[in-house]
Amino acid sequence: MSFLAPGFLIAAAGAALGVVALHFIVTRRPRAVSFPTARFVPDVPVTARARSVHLSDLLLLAVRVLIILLAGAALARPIFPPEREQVVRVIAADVSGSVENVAETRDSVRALFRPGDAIVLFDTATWSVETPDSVRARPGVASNGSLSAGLIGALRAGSRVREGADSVELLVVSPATLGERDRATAAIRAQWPGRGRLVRVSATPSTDSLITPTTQLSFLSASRPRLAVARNRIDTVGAVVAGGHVVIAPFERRWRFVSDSLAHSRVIARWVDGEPAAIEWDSASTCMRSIAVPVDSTGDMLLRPSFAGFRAALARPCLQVGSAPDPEATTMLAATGNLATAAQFPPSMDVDSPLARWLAALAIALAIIDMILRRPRNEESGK
Amino acid sequence: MRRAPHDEDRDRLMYGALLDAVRGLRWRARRVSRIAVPGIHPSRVRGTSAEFTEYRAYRQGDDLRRIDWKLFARSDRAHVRISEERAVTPTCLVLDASASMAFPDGPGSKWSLAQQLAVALASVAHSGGDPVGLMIAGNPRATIPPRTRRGIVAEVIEKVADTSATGSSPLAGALTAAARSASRIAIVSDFLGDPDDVSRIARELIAAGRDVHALHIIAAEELDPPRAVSLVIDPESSDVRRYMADSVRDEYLRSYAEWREVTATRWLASGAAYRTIVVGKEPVSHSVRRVVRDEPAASRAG
Repeated sequence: MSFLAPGFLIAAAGAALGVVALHFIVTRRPRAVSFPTARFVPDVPVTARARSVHLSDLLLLAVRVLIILLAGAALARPIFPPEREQVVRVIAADVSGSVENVAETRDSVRALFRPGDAIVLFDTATWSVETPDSVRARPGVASNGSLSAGLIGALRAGSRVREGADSVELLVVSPATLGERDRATAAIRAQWPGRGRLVRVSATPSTDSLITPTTQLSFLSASRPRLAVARNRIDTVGAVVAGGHVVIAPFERRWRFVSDSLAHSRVIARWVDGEPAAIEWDSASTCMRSIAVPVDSTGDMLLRPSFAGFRAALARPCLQVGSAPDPEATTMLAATGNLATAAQFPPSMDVDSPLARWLAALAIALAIIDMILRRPRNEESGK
Repeated sequence: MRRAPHDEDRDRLMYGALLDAVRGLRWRARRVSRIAVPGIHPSRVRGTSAEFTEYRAYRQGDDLRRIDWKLFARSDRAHVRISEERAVTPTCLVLDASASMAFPDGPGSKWSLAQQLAVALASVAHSGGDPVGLMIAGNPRATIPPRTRRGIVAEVIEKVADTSATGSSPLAGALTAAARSASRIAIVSDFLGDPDDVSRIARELIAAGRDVHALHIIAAEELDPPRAVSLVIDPESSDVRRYMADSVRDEYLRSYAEWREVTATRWLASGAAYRTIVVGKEPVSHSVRRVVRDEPAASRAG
């Protein structure tokens, strides 16, 4: 048996020792009695040492110590770990829109899976399944997956399986396309304390030429961009940013994107105050963009180099579906060194501990017994 | 208020054995009586009874019938025949019913002993033909002026049974009131309330010719308090709260013994008949015998 939070047990043991110490050094007020000749008793402070410890006191002490220890043990969440394996695997399987065929992912997972392994599925979110047969995509999610999300799920799974293994191996089953990687991916991978392995599956065929966005460069016209609505009050803003290109100019903001539109799209340009200035969304095999940046064509803004970069960033192809494989993914995900040891993972609080509930119930029952044992003493001292 | 018949039966049962045990006792007056009513006690009044005492020269105003004519014939001088008279001694029992008398709890309390002593002494005095009265400090409704009627003992039983020991009424007032109608006063108290006032008034009464008996009631627990540590509280003065423990026990015993010694000395010096009676130490009838026989303080406590 091991404990998920042994600190509570240690704290309970300390508290129990304190209770035992207090029990033996406690001072009690003596019983008050009527005594007609009390005036002849010297009016001096009196201390007296108890000559014996009553059996009921010891019973009370034992009950109290047990209550504390049981409560501490319940909070420490004891578990009976499964039979310990030498190596268990955490399989992070990509079921996002980047995968051409999720069945291929399922087959790969089935081939890799051994009893005791953990399976983490991910697209832009992550969740766990018990068996390879449960590997399937979420309905309605066709966007690129997120390796960062998958790695975070794998780290959590590593904490869950640490009790049943000496070492934990990371397996990532994914096409690992460029679109699935973000700036945090490498840092999150570094959190995994050992080497891993990337098992590539086929990515959705690259159709970059087909997904050149159907861009409506609204900043060249005064018409309302798609999915945008007119602002209640036109205001001005000093700059707009897209793809690292900043255009500084007194823009008049006439449109805004409502939250419903943003829920199913990605922001590709923002005003300097953070408000979305342009968005893109997937539509069948292509992607659509809507840009709500009004530009006065009579000025020189269109001639500035910064605006040219800004415009190029907005016009570049979508990378959402069918992106090219990330050439650095294998190196980045596999890393080097030994397998991660179980002790390198923090204990997981997600593990269910049925024994904790029983211990808590027992502690409550003993607390009731404690009250019953205390009652006669209170009545006696109240006389 | 008239008591229920079953209460009287209970009292009769409770005191029956005690009254049987003290039957036949006579409570002699310690001082000659100034009262002319015929009784069993020596009287200061010289009369004409058959119990001859002395001759005295005739003085003008003497009753001519009291002249001993035979002596006159022999001596040619007129002498009056003097004989000793017997008189009654009105007796009042003054009981202390303060809260301190209710110690310890239960039937073995000082108040319970005081009740039995009062009933037994009333019975003894009544059987000697003396008027018997009752005065309970703190319960004016229980006052009975000295009477010789038949049911007086039952009346005393009823009054003491209807009184419980509470409060802290001073004993001095009851003592003063009792002295108005009695020439013999028996004070039953633990003398923890107002000992100085009681002692002073008693001294004055004795000087005025009253016969005063002081029955000092002491609980065995007061002489030998329990050894368990306790917070002891004076029932008549809740401000007095002390801790009783082994470390102060000897000091308590010494102080209490000193106080009892002072109290006894003061009472005896005033001319009263002082007795200490420890609850449960001897049968009540034995205590009554010691009182009425005026045995010296052989049973002084402690």
